[in-house]
Amino acid sequence: MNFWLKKEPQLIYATEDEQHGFVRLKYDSLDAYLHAERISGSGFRHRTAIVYGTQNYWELDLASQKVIIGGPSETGTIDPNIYSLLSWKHQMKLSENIETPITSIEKKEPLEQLLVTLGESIQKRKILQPLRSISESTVTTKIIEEACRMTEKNKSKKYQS
Amino acid sequence: MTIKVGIDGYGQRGNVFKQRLTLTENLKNLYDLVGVYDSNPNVRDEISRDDSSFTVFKSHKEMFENVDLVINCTSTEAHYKTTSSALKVGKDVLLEKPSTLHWKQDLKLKKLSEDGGNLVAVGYVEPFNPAILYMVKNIDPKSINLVLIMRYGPMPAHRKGDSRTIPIFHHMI
Repeated sequence: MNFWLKKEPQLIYATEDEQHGFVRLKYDSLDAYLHAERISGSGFRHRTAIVYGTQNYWELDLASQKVIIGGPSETGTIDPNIYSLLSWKHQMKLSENIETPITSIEKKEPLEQLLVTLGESIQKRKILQPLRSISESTVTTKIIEEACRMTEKNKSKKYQS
Repeated sequence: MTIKVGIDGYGQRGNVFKQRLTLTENLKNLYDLVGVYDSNPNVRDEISRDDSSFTVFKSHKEMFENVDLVINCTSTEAHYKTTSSALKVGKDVLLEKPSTLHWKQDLKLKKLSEDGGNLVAVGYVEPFNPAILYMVKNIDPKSINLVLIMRYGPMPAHRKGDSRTIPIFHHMI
């Protein structure tokens, strides 16, 4: 899948401590604070997925189990795509910057789930989904290889020019 | 019956696995962390001094003789060699992502795995992330204009100096 950004988003670290971090993201007219969570021993890991529409975004914040809908502060409009995406499913009354809890997202640690599935796979002598086998990983390796090759190629072009 | 585990490579990721296996209640019933191996003798000495709750193996051979499953947390460049060694002596392997840097090496590992009847799983965690699972279940892909996935925090210390392509892509693809 290809996608383009008109320009790089600007990230500003607002606060950071051992347990929680908040990061300010500015992109065009979007200006939002995003949540992040520090997991002990494994660095500063994001726990938030952001999906952009044409004017708005929404994010799933696993730490607080909330959907946060944000929009350009200048217009306060809701992108119709985002509206149609969420309103039928959660029957939410949408307005600017509302917060609605999602109770259906379970708080499960991914690595722990991976290890449980691995244990079951070993006992059954078969890789169980969604655990990835080495043959499935080949696709990812090919993509990374290609991305690395293109990055190197672009670097060479930059230095030549 | 618990699965006897050895961790190969005791850097940042190896330490995370050790913590999960020894501190998480339902994993303690499933796995028995027998010991760890690191190719750096200074790291081995340090682990021996700091933690006596498991064995610090002196060689791959010694580890392979004592475990059923190898969790491979070595550097990506070493993945192919260390995983193929484990498969050749009949061990199952959990291989940290990305599996290798060359896809043809993945295919060789797959063949070794099939020939010996051993499992090779690759440690992609995002398919287990509840937020991702929620999105897959609830979002119509046609309604999305753009998906932007980004690391908000600073690059972890062990990744400093790496290309951005490898750490970001292998988590998200």
